[in-house]
Amino acid sequence: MRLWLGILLAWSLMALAGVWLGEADTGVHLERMLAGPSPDGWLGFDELGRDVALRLLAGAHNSFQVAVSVVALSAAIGTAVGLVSGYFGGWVDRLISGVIDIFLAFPGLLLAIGMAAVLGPGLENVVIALVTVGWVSYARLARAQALSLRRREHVLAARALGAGTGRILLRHLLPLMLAPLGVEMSFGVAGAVISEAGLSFLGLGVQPPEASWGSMIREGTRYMLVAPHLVLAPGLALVLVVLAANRLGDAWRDRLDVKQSEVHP
Amino acid sequence: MSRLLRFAVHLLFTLWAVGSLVFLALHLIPGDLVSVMLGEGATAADRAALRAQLGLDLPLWQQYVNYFSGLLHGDLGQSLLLKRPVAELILERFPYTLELALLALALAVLISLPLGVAAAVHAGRWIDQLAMGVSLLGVAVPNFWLGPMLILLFSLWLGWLPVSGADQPWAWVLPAVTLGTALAAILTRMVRASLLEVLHEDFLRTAAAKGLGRQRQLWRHALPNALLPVVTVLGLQLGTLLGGAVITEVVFDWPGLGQLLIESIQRRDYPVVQGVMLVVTAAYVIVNGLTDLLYGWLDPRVRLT
Repeated sequence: MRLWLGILLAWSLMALAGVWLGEADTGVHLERMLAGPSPDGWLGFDELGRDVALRLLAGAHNSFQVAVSVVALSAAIGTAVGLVSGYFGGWVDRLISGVIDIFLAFPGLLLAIGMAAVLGPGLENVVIALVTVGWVSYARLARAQALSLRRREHVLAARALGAGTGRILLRHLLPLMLAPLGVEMSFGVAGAVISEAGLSFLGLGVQPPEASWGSMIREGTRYMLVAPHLVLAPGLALVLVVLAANRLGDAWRDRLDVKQSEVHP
Repeated sequence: MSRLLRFAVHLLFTLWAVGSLVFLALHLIPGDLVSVMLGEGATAADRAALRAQLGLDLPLWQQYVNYFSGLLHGDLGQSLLLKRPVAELILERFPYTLELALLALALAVLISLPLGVAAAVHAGRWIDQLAMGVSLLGVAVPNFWLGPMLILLFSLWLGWLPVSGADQPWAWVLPAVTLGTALAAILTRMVRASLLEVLHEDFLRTAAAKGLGRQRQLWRHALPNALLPVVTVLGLQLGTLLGGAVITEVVFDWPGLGQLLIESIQRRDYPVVQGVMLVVTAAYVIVNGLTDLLYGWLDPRVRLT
């Protein structure tokens, strides 16, 4: 558990370091083109002689930014929509559920690819594309939770005492669904990191000379036989972060799900 | 019968909604599509000409009606660069994507079923821990990294399999493995979890009390029940599979719909982009609907509620 938290912490520190990177990672030095790992550059250099370790930091910065924005925006939008849908029920619920179903009708990544294609490349557009896909799962979760919570005694009591709808939603329903939403969010981080890298791999995300782990893998595949470190470094970073976020989500979910832990101790 | 009718109505509604959303996305998103397609150097006359060619000079509702009446006749428009009907291009590429998806699916089922069953039966033992470890990794390794790694190992270093393309004899192996791995990992976890739950049910205790052998309990009684929820997940996971196919096809230069989609995005050939999005999504919606139907047929409890 500590290991996974440590990886996520390292990722965020790398992202932070990326802020002060400036132009350091985009400098071209052809004399050290495709050079392997050495004391000068622990992870070697790419086809333009750029330091892979510095590119990795810049990539961490971008993936972290995208992941945090996508998860925060998707969770906020999805939770708000789901809360309203589940709490009010009736035609509001039917309408919102219909919209959710339509979004679910698209294969996830395909919708993001389509959005990115229409919006054009760039970090912000990647965020918009991924939020378009991502809010739905939070909405479904919040709706299901609100449906089961709205008849609870404490909600009825609050309503009988004259609490407004906003207060009931925010103070009496939302706090009870924070834990499952948190689980969803940690899986969301893993999903956003993979999706950003995937879009950048396809050339629809972060644009050169800026670094993304996905575009680093894409560029590295051309030199795989002579310089495998170009593909190995960003790939391993990606796998570790995704693994860590997934494990964290798993652990959190198992802790909440008493029934599961009884079945297999 | 009423179930089939409801299914058909729901399917048509979803297809209409999906079609409308794709239409709206391409027409209402900020930025002028025609300027984007033609690039910076285009004159006002060029833009007007392309606009007229695409029917973009008509009022929005008229475009919408034309678009849907075209769809009903199987007309997905004309590619701007290749000057060929979009439907024709899609039909040409579709068999490749179907082949890749089916191979990946088959592979995933063949791996996950025995692995998931073994993990559940020996829960907590080494084989379970191994299966769970492998499946964790399988979910976390993105296909755009797995693919190049497999190429590096099996094509470049060992020289056993072709690097890319679809013409050579064993060319499908690496793409299918790349695409199928994540699905295999997810299904393994599903099969294990589902079977573990069923193994603790009363009817199995009854079966055991009646003196049924271990194997018969497992294969005849537990597994069929455990696989029901897996079927639903399989339908939903097809969406992930189709999205993953886009990336896998790009990695391996596989001439399917995903590659056509990305090529068309790069060429700003928006009618083709729109057509591929629609066809792939429609395929996904239909397969998902059929999975639901299948689920109802497999499990009478669903039909009653």
